Amino acid sequence: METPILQIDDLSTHFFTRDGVVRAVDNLTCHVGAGEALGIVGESGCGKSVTSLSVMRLVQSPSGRIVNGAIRLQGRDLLALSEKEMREIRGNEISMIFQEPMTSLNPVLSIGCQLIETIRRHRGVSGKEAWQRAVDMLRLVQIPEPDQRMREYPHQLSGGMRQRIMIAMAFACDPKVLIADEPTTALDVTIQAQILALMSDLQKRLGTAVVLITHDLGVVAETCQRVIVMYAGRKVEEADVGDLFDRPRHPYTKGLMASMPHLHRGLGNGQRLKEIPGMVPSLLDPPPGCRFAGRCAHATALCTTEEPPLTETGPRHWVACWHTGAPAEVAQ
Amino acid sequence: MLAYTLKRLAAAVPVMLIVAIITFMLMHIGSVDPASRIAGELATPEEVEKIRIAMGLDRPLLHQFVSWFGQVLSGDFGTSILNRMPVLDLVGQRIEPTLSIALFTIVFAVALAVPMGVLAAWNAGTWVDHLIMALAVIAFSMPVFLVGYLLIYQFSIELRLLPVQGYKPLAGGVGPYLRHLVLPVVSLGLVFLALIARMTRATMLEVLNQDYIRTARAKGLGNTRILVLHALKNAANPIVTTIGFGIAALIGGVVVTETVFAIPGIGRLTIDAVIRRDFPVIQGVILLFSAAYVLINLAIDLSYALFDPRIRY
Repeated sequence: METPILQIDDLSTHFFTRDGVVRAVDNLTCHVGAGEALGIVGESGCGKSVTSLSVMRLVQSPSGRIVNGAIRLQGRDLLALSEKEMREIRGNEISMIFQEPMTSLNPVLSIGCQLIETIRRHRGVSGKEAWQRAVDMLRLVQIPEPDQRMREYPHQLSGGMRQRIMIAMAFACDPKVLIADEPTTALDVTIQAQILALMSDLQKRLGTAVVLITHDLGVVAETCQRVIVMYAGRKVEEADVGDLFDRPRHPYTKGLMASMPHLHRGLGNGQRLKEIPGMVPSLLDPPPGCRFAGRCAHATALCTTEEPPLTETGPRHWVACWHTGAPAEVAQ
Repeated sequence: MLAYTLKRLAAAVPVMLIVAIITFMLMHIGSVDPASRIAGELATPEEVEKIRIAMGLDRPLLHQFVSWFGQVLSGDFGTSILNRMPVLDLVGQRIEPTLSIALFTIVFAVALAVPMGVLAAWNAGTWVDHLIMALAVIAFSMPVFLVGYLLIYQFSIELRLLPVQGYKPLAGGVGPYLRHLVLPVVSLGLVFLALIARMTRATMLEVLNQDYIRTARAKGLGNTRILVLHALKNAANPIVTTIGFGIAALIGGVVVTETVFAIPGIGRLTIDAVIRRDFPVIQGVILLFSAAYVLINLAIDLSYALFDPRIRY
């Protein structure tokens, strides 16, 4: 396998609060190759967003801190860079799209101003060239009448439009890696599909590596090649998309899949979708052993005392569970 | 924008009318009879009565009000009882020092307070923030006359750097003019500065937590651009509102400042007029200040559209 564009090793990001240390991300290792789309899936509060902010080195300081690990962009350790060097990376080599298009754009600055400042920040071009580039980007994300949109303000545009503008901004400097943190969660379902199609299309055309963070397995199935399932700050399963959907190993992954409605396997009358009982445990002093043990139907004494290691159970398929040895039984 | 401005100006008419009525009534609800005040202490009752009739003070109130208000509208604010000068001329003579103090105070306070507030918000929770906010509390808690005398003692009497009091008009040279303004402006401006600094900090703190600030950082922008362009422009409206309130409060402060520094401005004129029951002057000054207040408020409302494209008039 070629060297990945982005390599995260043993990343731990903790928040030091008055009540104690919150282990938002714990020893996470993953990588994204050139042109590849990696999905990171999990419930709210499982560390997905903190992972992405860690890569950008935008974790809320002083409470949040990357305490361990390395984040390498084409071999270069981002954690060793100064804040000034990091600013050259942000929006340029790694860019990011956020969940809330309604609040992620500055309400008092015009669309043009916000696009152009990114371009001029990283490309030493004239105002006129930057304007042209911005218009081209708006055209690329299929915004009608781009010249006019440049002069408009965010409140004059719909949520879908604003997310397109965020995408245009993210792609404006030809980033090597794009991190999309729940890019479609706040949008209508029809708009969601359009935005996902647009992102996939741009990704293929420009060869950008994408990290897609979502809680929606459907979105992952459509856009990603590889998936990481995170639970309570830890990676619990990693596999190629098809493999994961066909042979989920971790009870949590199975739970997520069972809680999704299926078109072909319709539910009988009065039958409910399966939910995973309980809540994500507090990341403040998490229990020893497997963090999912409290909600897992198959938990044994071992699960509550010893942490399961990640083991390769199939080609490019890793699971952190004590009971994957007999997947068939666990599945039932 | 023009339509809105005209509408607001039209709405100011009833406001000014109410102010005029209250101002007019001042003369009639007080314990002092204006006629005997004008006649002087040695006048006989007959002389007082003559003046009363000559000034129309014996006529019905409504009648008096209409004729007084008509004069005001035509620009005649009456004549001072004390020195027989037209009120407008008196105000004209005294306006330069007051305007100078007010203008420099606003510039001084805003120019220092906004950067201080931004700095405190950016360093929230650190010693920089604590220091700035502690200074603000101290500045806010000290009355103008106390600050004024402390400054005079330190800079004029001990260090002999600045004049103790008085005023030199601009026509007499920029140097002396500015030297005489420093202490009055600083002592009047400190409270104002503290108010704006606190407001700036609070608003900036809120803005800095917004998603679009995170977006700006994710684009690789530098701190200065984020603070000044992305954050401050969003925080501008509450800050401008505070500045507007502050200007209104300055009117009261100017009176005290002019007294402490013996400056012959509108404030001193007002105090002298109040002490000596010079009703036409009191009425004129109140009307002028009210009109200025109404106009300042309008200017502030109009300025909102300057910072926020979502506001359109």
